[in-house]
Amino acid sequence: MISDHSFLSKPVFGLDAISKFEFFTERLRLLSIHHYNKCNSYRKLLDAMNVNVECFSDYRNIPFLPVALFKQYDLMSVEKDAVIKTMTSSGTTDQQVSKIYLDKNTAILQTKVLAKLIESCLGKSRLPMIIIDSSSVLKNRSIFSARGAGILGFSIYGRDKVYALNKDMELDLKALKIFLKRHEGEKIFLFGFTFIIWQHFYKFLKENNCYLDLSNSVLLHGGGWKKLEDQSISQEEFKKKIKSVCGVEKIFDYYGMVEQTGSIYLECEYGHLHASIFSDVIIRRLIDFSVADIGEEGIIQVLSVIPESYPGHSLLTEDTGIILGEDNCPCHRKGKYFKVTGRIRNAEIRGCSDTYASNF
Amino acid sequence: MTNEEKYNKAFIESFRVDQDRLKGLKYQDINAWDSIGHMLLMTALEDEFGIELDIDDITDFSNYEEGKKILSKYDVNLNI
Amino acid sequence: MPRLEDVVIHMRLTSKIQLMAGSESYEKMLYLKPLVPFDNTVIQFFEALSMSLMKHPKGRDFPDIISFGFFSRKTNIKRLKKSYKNLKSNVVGRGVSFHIAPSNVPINFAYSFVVGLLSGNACVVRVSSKSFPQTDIVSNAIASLLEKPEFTELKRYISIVKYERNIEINNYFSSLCDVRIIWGGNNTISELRKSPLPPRSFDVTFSDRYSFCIIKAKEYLDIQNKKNIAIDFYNDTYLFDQNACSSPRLIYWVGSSNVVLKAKEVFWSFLHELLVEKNYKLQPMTAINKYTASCRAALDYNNVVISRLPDNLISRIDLDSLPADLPEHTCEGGSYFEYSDEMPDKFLGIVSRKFQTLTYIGFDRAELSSLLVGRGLLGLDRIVPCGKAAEFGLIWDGYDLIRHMSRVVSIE
Repeated sequence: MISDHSFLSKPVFGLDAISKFEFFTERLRLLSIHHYNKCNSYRKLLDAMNVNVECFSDYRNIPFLPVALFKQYDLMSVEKDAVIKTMTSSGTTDQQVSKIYLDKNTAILQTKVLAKLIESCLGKSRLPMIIIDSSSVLKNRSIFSARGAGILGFSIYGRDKVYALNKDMELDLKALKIFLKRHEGEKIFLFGFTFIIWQHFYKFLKENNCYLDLSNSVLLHGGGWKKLEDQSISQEEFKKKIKSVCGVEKIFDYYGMVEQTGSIYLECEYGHLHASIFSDVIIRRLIDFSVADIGEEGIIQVLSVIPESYPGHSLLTEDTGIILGEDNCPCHRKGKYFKVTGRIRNAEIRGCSDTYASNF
Repeated sequence: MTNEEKYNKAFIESFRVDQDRLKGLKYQDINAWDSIGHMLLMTALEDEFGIELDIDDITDFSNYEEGKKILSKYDVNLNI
Repeated sequence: MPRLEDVVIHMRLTSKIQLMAGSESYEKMLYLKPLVPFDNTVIQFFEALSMSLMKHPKGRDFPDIISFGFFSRKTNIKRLKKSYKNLKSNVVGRGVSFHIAPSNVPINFAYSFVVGLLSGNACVVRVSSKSFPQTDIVSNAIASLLEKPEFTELKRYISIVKYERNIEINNYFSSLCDVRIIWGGNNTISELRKSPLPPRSFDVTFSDRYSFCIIKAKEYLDIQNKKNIAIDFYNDTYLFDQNACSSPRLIYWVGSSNVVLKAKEVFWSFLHELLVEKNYKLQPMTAINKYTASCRAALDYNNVVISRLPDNLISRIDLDSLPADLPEHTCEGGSYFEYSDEMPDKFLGIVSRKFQTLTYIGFDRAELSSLLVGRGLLGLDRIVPCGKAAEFGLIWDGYDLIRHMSRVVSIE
């Protein structure tokens, strides 16, 4: 039964390859059957691929949906009036955005999974939290972007939160200093998007020669490295520079996307992104979408036990990555651990019909 | 240069092959005689002999020997 | 006399324009004598350009350069001139032509340029702002030739330029031209149409087009050299990553179902072998786009079958009917819809203005004539054998370009 969420009580990084395979295959098989029955589009797709959902015995054979489909179609496995939240990916005005439809069940499941993951990172008690963004991101509660979703999702784990940036995205140093005084000596949870932390937190402190003492804190950040890479800033440099303005040593990246919120991949103390029991990663070769070997780069497919209101349990992303190993990370977490190597570049296509307006 | 030498020169220069490769040579026998090589050969022959080849003849010209027969239609005499 | 403010505007813009070949005196072009179509100096120029490109040390690395050299060779230009011998003697070029080449076909600008000059016009040709070796090779060849004494006068008629997208520069060249030739599809046309034209001037546009291929299954199976067919099909499609407007996106198989099944197996197998032999490189985003296109088709249409294939080089989407909006489902890099029928005429119902080229295998001209002529079709400008889809002709997309870009002086 897909409503069986007993997996929530399992240790978050506690399943080895064989156990994970069994659990995951069964859960994803159930989800696939559920979506096949409830989502016309998903059914049409699987029929076109001549795939029989009942017979899956290996989760690697479950078809993956390209994330672009969520931009172009409304994919849902519930009635429209059961949708309580629509998540959208961030995009520029002339680009379409992904639409992810959540009902109450899936929204709650996402929250519970994320809680388990954060707990594994921060411990059981809720911590004072600094959100390195502006509160204006959360204006409309029923439709919001990946940024808003991330902030709302993570902020549940904080008690006594403060937003570090004002509505003009400038660092509100005064508010931060008051907050830090109030929580002097306590461990603090910092959260934000990678580029925003760099652009609006680090740069401000550096340019104004300020130092905030956050040495007893944990910084969790996500959103991708592309913008920083474009400015030739490496992951190591990011960590070093952040530490230099606020003393934070525990800096963890996470990989996630709006099409599969909740089951994020957290960075361990050895710098590796880990798949928890709630998710998995498969690297596919672009030439034929076969499963790549450990150490071989390819396109990232993400799988999650969460999506019940929309067929998002098995997706092909537009990111490239490499599996570094399984069950043998020095941090002792079981499961696959991997690295994201970048976004797939736009093809240099030759032909006489082109989008003059956007790529010249 | 004799007609025979001009004819061979066109092949040799277009495909960068040796003369001894020419007998029995057919389109696509060698990498160099692909559709691009074919264009180079046809242009070289037109230049060499000052003729204008018909489109049908360009399409039918598919081997070294056949080519000689085709050129005879343009008053270019070669030992067949 | 140009006004002072025009000169100042001109200088600010020209700093953003890279001159690849020819003259920088754009405004002086307005006062040049129009040429007659197939002017002798122009013909000599193309003869020389053809020779220089066919003999270029790098030529063999670029099939498109050799194809262009072949097209512009002396005997072909002569043949083209002969086909226009009915052109009245009092025809001249319209004046100045402004060409916008597509950003993704490096050599297309050269064909447009040939048409511009052969029809008697001075030419300002904007090449793609993307960097392509073919564009550089051909522009350099043009530039070198224009330094020769016999082409000094002709040089004034030619400007091959490059600039980043810039509406002011578009406005500038548009204001100088008598005819504007826009390649690159619907989005480019909309963009250029933001720049006004002088009252007498007009656009020749090459909008998004749709092409397909029809194959008689039994006749295909009987063909001796199937590798040649694969090469022809490759040249129509993969050579341009299936992005040319003339590249087929639908394969219409004619025959009984078991013959078609066999023919498909053989056809795609030969093509796949060729792709491997040619080491065709599948771009990562293309692999994903093709997969997405297959999924989209499955969602938008009924009873779609996505063929299971050993790799992503070829994507095949099987349909049991031909929907009218099929041209909206295009994807580059080797994505093909397939439809089969015992009768060859089921596509007639969906032929729209967008349809450009029909390539064929296993048919003869007479059969296709009787199938297509007199049906009052709104589209399909060219019906050519497989392998000839991308062959350029002076009649293109339904335009008789020489006649379109020249004008008749009528004296009574």
